[in-house]
Amino acid sequence: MRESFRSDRGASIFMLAISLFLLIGASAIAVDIAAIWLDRSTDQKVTDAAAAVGVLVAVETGGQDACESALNYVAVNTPDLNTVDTTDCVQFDKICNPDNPLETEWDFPAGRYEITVVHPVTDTHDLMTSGIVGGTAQPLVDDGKPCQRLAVKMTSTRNSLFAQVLGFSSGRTSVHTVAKRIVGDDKPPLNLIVLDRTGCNTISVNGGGQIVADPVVHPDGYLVGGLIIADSDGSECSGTNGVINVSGLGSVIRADGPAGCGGNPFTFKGFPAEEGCGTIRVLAPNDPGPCTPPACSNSGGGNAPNPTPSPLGSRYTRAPADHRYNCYSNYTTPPLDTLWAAEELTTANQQNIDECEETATRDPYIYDLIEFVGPRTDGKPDSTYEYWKAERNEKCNVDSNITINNQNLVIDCNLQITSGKSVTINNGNVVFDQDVTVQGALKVNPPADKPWTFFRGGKLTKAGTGTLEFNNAMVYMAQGSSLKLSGSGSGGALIWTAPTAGDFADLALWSDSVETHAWSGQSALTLRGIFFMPRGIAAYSGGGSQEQTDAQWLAWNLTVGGGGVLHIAPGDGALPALSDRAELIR
Amino acid sequence: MAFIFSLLVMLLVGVVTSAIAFGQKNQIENAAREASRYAATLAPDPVTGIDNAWLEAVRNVAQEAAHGNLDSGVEGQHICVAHFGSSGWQRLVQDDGGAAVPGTAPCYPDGLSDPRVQVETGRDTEINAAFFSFDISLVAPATARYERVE
Repeated sequence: MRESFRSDRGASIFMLAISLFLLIGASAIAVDIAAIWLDRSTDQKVTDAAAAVGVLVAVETGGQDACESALNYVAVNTPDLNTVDTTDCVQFDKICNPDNPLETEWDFPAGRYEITVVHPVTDTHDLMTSGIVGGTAQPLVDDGKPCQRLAVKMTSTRNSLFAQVLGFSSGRTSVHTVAKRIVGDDKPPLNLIVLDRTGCNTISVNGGGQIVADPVVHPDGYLVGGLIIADSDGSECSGTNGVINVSGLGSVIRADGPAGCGGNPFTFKGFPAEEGCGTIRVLAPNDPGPCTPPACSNSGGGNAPNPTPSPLGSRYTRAPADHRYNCYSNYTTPPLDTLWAAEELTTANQQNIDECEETATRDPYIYDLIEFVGPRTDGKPDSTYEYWKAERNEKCNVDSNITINNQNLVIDCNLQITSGKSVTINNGNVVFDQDVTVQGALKVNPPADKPWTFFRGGKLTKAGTGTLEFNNAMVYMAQGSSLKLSGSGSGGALIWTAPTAGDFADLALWSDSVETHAWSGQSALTLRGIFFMPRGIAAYSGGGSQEQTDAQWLAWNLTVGGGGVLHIAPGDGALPALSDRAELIR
Repeated sequence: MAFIFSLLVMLLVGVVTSAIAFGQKNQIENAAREASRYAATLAPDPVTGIDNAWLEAVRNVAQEAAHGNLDSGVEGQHICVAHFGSSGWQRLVQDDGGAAVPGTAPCYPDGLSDPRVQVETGRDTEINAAFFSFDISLVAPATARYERVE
C-alpha cells in the first residue's frame, strides 16, 4: 500500500493533462482578446470617419443631419453592420446656439454595437476630459467651442470564441472620437451675404430684377462657382413668404458656376460655364423640393432660385470682415466707448462674433479710424484739417469747378454740386458732416498711405446724370449716413474702387448705418472691392445699361427691383467663404 | 501520447498563425484608416483636380501605414483608392503588386451621396494548424467624407 503511494507512475499524465488544460485556456483567452483588440482598431476607424463627417454636417445643416450622417458613416465602415436606425436623430437641435449650447447625447443600438453621438460637446463632457477612461483630464487647448465639436463613441460586444469554456461569454470594448470643426484654407470665393438673422425676404427680387452671382476665376486658372448666403432662420416669415424671395415676371436669383450641372451654357472669361452651377445657401429650413418657405418663395411669375437653396447649418456672421479689418480679441464688450461701437455690437439682433485670433499682427483698423476722426461734436480730427466753409470759405452750393490738392478737409455744410460743375479733391482725406448732393461731379482721390473718406452723417445723393468717383478709397459711413446713387442711361458715372494696398486693401465701403444704401445701374459703372453694410439695407434698381460689378456685397438685406440686373463677381481680394474641415481632437 | 502531442502541436501552431493573421488584419485596418483620413484632407491639384497622382499619393500612404503588409510581394495584396466628387468616381486599383489600374467605379458600393473617399486594403494570409491549413482573405474598407473644395 505504502509502495503504491510512493510510486511516480501516472504523474506525468496528470501533469500533462493540467498543462494541456492551461495551455488551451490561455490560447482561448489570447485568441478572444486578440479579436477584441481587432474590434478596437476597426471601431476607431469607424468613429474617426463618423465624427469627422458629423461635425462638418453640423456646421452645414445642423445637429439632426449631423447625427444621421455620422450614423450612415458608421454603417458603411463597420463590416458586420448594414444600417443604423437614425430615427432618434430628431433629438438633436437643428441649430446650435453658441451662447447656450444644449448638449444632446443619444445612444443608438445596432447589432452588437452601441453608438453614442454627442453634439454639441461641452468642455466638461467625459469625452473631452478623458474621465470616461479614468485618465488624467486633458487641458482644453485650442479645442474650439461646444457647437464646433461632435463626438461619436462606439461600444462593441463580441461573443467569445473559445473563452466561453472558461466562463468568459463575451468581451466589450469602447472607443471614441471627438472632432472639431476648423476653418479650412481652401478659401472659396463668396459673392453675397445677407446677415439679417430672423427676417423674411432678406434677399428679394421683384419687378423683373435679377441677382446673379457670377463664377470666379481661381488664380490657378480654373472656374469656381458663385456663392450666395442668407443667414436668416426665417422666424419672421409667415404664410408663403421665404427668406429668399423672387416675385414678378422675369425676376431671377441665380448663382452660376463651372459647366457640369446641366444649366444653360455660356462662356465666362474664356471658361465654359453654366447657369445655376453655383451655390445658394440659407439658414432657414427648406423642405425637399424646389423652393419652399420659410427658406424660399417665388410668386407672380418669378423664377425659383437657381440652384435650389441648400441648407446652412450654422450662423455665418460678419466675422470674416471684422477679423480682417477690425480685429479684436473680444467682441462681446464694445471695444470703444463710442456710440457707434456700442450700438453696433450690443444690439440684440446682431451676431456674436468669435474673437479675432490675429490681434498680434493686425489692429482694429476701422475703430482706430473712428477713434481718430471722432464724432461730429469733436470737430476736426487734427490740425491738418480745414473746414470747407468756416475756414476756406468755399461755397456749399458749388457753381464752379473746384480742385483742391494736398489738403485734408471737413465739409461742414450741406454740399450741393450743381449740374456741369465739379469738386475734385486730390491727395487729401475728407470728412463729410452733412448731406452731399451730386448733380455735377464729385471726385475724391485720397492719399495712398491713408486711403479713406469718412461720412460722419448725412445723405450722399447722386443724380442720374451726376458723376461720383471714389478712387482707391475706403469709404466709412457712420450711423445716420445713407446713400442714394441714381443712374441714367444717358450720362453720369459711378466709379468706386477700393484701395489696393494697406490696412484697408480691397475694402470699398464699411457702413455702420442702418439706413438704406440705394444703388442703380449706370451708363458707366465701376464697382471694385468689398461693400460691407452689415446693418444696412441694400437696394439696387435699374436705370442704366451697365450692371456688371467687380464687387463683393455683405449687407443686412438686399432688394433688387425695377429691372435692375446686379451681377456680383468678387475680385481677387474679396473675403473668402469659410470652408470647413474636421480636426480630430480626442 | 502521440495523439496528445499532435494535438498540442496543432494547437500551438494554430494559435501562432492566428495571432499573426490578427496582427495583419490590424495593420491593414490601420492603413485604411490612415489613408482615408489623409485622403479626406488632401487638396486636389489646382489645375487637374483629382487625378491619378492624387490617387497614387493616397495609395502610397496606405502602403506605408501597413508596415509591409501591403507591399508588392505580399500574396493577395490589394489597395483600392476611389474619390467621388464633381467629376463622379475616379479610382485606382492595385492588385498583387501589379500596375495600378485607373477606373471610374467605386471600390465598393456604399449607398452614400456626398463627396467622399474610399480606401480598401486587403491581403491573403494562411491559418496553419500543422497538419492542415487554409487561406483567408483579409479586407479593410474605409469611407471618409472629402473635406476639401474641388
